[in-house]
Amino acid sequence: MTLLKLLKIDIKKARWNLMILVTIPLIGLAVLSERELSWSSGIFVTLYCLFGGIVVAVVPFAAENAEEAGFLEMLPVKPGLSVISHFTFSALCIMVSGGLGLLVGLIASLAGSSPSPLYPGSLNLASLYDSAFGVALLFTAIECLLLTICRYNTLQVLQLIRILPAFVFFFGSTGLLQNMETTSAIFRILNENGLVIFIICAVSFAVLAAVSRGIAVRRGR
Amino acid sequence: MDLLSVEHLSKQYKKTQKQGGFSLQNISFSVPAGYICGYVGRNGAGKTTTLNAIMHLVRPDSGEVLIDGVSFEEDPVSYRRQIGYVGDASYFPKDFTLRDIREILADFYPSFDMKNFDRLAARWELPAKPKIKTYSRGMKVKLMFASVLARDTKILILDEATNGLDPMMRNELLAMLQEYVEDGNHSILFSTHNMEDLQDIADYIFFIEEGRKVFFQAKDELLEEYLLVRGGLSDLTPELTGRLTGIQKNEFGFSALYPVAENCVPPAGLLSEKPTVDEIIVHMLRQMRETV
Repeated sequence: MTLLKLLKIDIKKARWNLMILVTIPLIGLAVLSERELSWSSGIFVTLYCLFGGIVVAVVPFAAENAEEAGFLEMLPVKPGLSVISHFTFSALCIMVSGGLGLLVGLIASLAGSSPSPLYPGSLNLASLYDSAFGVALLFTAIECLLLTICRYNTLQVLQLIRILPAFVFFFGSTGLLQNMETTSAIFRILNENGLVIFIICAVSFAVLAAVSRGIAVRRGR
Repeated sequence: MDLLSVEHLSKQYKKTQKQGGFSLQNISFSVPAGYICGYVGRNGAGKTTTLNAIMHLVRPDSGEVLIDGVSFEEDPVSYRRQIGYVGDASYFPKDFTLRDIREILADFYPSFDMKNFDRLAARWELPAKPKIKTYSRGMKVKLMFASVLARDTKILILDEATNGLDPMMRNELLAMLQEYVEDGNHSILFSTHNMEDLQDIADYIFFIEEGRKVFFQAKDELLEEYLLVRGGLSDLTPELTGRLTGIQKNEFGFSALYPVAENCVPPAGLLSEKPTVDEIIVHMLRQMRETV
């Protein structure tokens, strides 16, 4: 129950940023409606949505600074619970952004996207989506861990931690899709083991959340 | 019964220590129920560090703080519910509104009285819709007070809390603080530079300098211990100088504290009067500086 109350605060902190999560799929939908669709159109939009998700996911961490954290730190909750709330918020952001991306992808596929002629094997879109969600979760967890460690650092450091993983995720994954022939081995792993990758990343997310909570408890926060 | 008990609190800041900087050293004191304790010292003396350690916003290296007999480690939720903290700067997220704050307080503090909060907000003309970052400094202070006075706390921790308030508001608040402790079940720890506040309402004074306790005493006892004496420079005999604390000389003469003990009265020819808390602190600081 207390976790839900803390989550409500996190949502309040990020309320304007949450607009990004809705805006990106709408832009994606608009772009798709004006272009010739291919099998990868939907997943490109999903990756773009997840990029937005990774950026927004850490707003509750990044929004805090030493001056303003006082009120929230003084709330009567057990140490470490607010960090768990931040992680829960990040997971929700990835779920919402990925879910909206998936929805746009489904609309694209209904409109006539077809499997790629470039890739020789059978294409498993569900597996690719699983991989993308899993990796986005992992990137978010790493961001959250770094922000737990580097709390109250300079604005530049916070922005770097907030933006860099999102860009690495987006350009890394879209680069992989665009160069499937040269990176076919990685692509095959993602295509064939999506669910396993998702589970590994989800477990890593939970482990990193526990580590961050431990750090917060040690600091008495 | 002590509502606040601080035992052997120490905190060293490594970075500043290398630069010959600050550490809080073995601070102990307690504030009984129904009393107001003034916590005074110069800038950088360790006041805010002590208060932050009590609030658990910084972790002390050693020592223990008990609120109504409960430590943070024993029960962090109860510990924090018992404290109301008002700082010298707003600690609210700047993009939040008064409504957000009210909602959060209602969620986390079972004793939070929404009607009382609304009443205080209306009385102090705090608008509900604008973001807190648009509030003036005085309004932010009022919001902090409204947020702590609208719920049941055992102790108020005030860190330079009356800074930025107009005289009317300051008087109103001081009256409210006195009312707060009147029932004998609440206490206040009040850190301030404004000695007038303490002169009016404090029962005890804790004086800290360079992270160390100088004295912790009932205010009335402290005021009885000294006389403020003034005289010409020619009155300053070696014997008298040895007895005086914090001699302040100027072209017209001197002023200093004269310890009042049994059968010990100031020499004839000196003007003497009861000092204020401010004057005692200033002369003690002068004495300490000269000793160093």
